[in-house]
Formats: sequence, C-alpha cells, structure tokens
Amino acid sequence: MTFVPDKIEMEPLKVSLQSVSLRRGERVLFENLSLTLKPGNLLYVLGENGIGKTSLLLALAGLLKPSQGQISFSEGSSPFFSSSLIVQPDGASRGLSVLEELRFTSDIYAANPNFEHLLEKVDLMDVAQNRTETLSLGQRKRLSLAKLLIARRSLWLLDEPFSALDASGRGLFSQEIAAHLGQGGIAVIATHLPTDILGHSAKTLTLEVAK
Amino acid sequence: MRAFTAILRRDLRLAFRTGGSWILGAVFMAVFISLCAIALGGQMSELRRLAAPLLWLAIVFSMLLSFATIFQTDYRQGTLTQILLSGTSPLTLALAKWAAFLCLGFLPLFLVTPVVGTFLGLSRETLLATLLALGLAAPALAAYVTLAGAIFCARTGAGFLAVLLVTPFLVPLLIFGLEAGQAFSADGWGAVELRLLAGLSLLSIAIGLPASAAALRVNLEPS
Repeated sequence: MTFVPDKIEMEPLKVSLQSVSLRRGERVLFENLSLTLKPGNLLYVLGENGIGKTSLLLALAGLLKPSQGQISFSEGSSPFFSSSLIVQPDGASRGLSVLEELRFTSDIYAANPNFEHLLEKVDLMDVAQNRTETLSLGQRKRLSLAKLLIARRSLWLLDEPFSALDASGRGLFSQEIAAHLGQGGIAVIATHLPTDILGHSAKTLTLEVAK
Repeated sequence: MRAFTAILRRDLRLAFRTGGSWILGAVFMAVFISLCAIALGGQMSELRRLAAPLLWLAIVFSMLLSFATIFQTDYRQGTLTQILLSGTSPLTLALAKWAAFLCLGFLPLFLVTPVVGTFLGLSRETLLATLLALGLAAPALAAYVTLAGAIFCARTGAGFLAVLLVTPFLVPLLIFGLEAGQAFSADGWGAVELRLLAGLSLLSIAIGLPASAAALRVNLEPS
C-alpha cells in the first residue's frame, strides 16, 4: 500500500472575483461582486433561500459562467484542477459500496490514499461495504468529506456542510476545515448557521435581494 | 488512463449489479424479430431474404433507444460534475462511456445475433458476413448514440429529438453495413464496401466522440 503523508503540499492559490454578476435565466441573482480569496481564507456566504448562494459556489467551481465580470485563478490554475465541491446531489454512485465509491474517487483524482485510515477518520468503517444509497444523510455528508480529503484541492466549496450531521460530524467537519485552512487552503461555505472554526477568523458575505 | 479504466470498470460493475438493463437490448431484439416474423407471415423463404436487414434494424433500434442510459443517471446524481471537477477531460469521459456502451449496449446484441440469425434461416456464410459488418459498424453506432446521450443528458423526455438527431447519421451506416455484408459474401476480404464501412466507422468515432465531449462540456459548464 502506498503511504501518503497527511500533510498536503498545495500551491498557494489566489482566487479573485471582479465585479461578478450571476443570472439564472432572466433572474439576476447578484451584481457587481468583487472579492479576493487568499490562502487560509474562510468565507461564509449567508442569505435567504434561493438568493444564489449555491450558484456562487457553482460559479467558483467553473460550472456556471458569470453573466458579467470574471473569476480568475492565480496563474497556472483553473477551477477543475484546484477546487472541490460538496453540493446536492453529491455524486455518490447508486449501486457502489462506500469503499468502491472512495476507490473510484481516488482513481479519477489519481490519488493513493490509505482507505482504512480515511474510513476511520470519517467514521464510516462499519458501513464500508454498504451501498451508498442506503446511507443516511449524515453518512453521505461524511462520505463527501472523505472524497474531499482524497481530492486534496486547495479551494473547498461547501454547500451547507453542517446540515444533517450529528455533533461529532460537525466537529469532524470543523476540524478538517481548520486543518485545511492551516495548510494554506481556502474554504467558501454557504450556510444558514455559521460555525466557529477553531483558530480561524471568518469573513462573511451576505447576499440580499437587490432593490 | 487511470480515469478511463476507472469509469469503464465502474459502469460495467454498476450495470451488472443494478441488474439486467443490458439484457433488455437482447430481449428487445428477440421480441422485434418475432413480431417481424409474424408480420411477414412466417414464411421461411421470405424471412431468409430479409434476415440480414431485420437484424440490422433490430440492433440499430435497440442501441438508439438506450441512449438515455449512458449519461442521464450520472448527470442526475451529480457524478458527471464530480468527474469533471477531478480534472478528467470530457473526452476521456466520453471515450470511457462509449467503451462501456459498446460492452453493454452492443455486445449482448452481437452475441444473440448468431442465434436469431439461425432461427431466421441465414446460411453460415451470410451470418458470418453480417456479423463482420455489424462488428465494423458498431463503434460508429455507439459513437452516435453516445453523442445523443451527451447532448440530452440534462433533458428528460428528449427521446424523440434524440432519434430525430441521430437518424441521419445512422442512414449511411445502415446502407454501407448491408452492402458490406453482401459484398463480403461475394468477394471476401477484398470487398471495397468492407473498407468503406471501416473508414466510415473510424470517421464516425473521430466526429462523434469529440462532439460528445463538447456536448458534455456545454451541459455541465454552460457558457
């Protein structure tokens, strides 16, 4: 088995949004948003349902093109090679077991993680052979976290990561996010309930209905 | 390469596990041929003459109708997005899906063909020629069906549009495929039609797969 050290060596990544506007169909979600994300930054995106939090994450992941403005990544990088996204639907394949899902993920990322270690970390050891569709919502979140740890990308885009999780799960997520930030990663979290991430100050971005 | 084999392996594994949708093609073919036999009055002499075209039609329809199975589930459950975010190129994805479709959407039909052909009273030589022509045309058929799947992965109920879109591409394959089968029976390996079919097939792959990749890109990262 290949041993991969826990420490992640990431390129310091910088992402900047220059007067970005997003639309969904005819509806304008937000306009003229400018901000810069640097290594170690934590950004909470707040706002009502349907205001465009998830769309902002999708835009950062390169899956939604801004109607105006641009999102640029520091040199030599692009969203498909530097970001990880947790969003609904989470992409877990119906019919694969948890372990097979993780194997598949590490294959497409060309990673060689220690699966046992990983399963223990996210506390899915007992259900490793169960199919993904039999998992509870909380367990699916844990599976997504495991995939995030396999991908080792600098920019984490998390949509409601803390929902459906029990206390230990929320603790686990916060701890991993803190570790990620500590290693120079960036996290953008869309949520209704900002949680304190130990030892890191967060910026918040509140999206509001345009007048 | 690792991503390609991973996606291919995953698709095959899921197909065998979720049970039976890949057998459906063979069942469809059996039903189609039986109905044709009944409609044609069940006369052996008539059936023998039409056997090769009927086999071709059964296979083309069966493949065409399963276009939605290629990408739709993965699109809905978010797997396509995750694969793309891993930095895997859409072309690799399309290639893997195409290979998986060849194994799942075509191979079962191909394996059933000799049995059905024998029922229809095809001679050994004609059967061999038909199988050869089908084998040559299969990559192209699969490429166009993959293209339809990629274009319509985000739409439900686009079956009619997909059929409409892909049919023009299938016509030359059908024409040259049948011609090649007959020519092979007559002239053997030297038959010009056989080479034409092979060339057409390669061309279809060269067009169909990059186009599928582009369609996936448009569906997943709209610009």
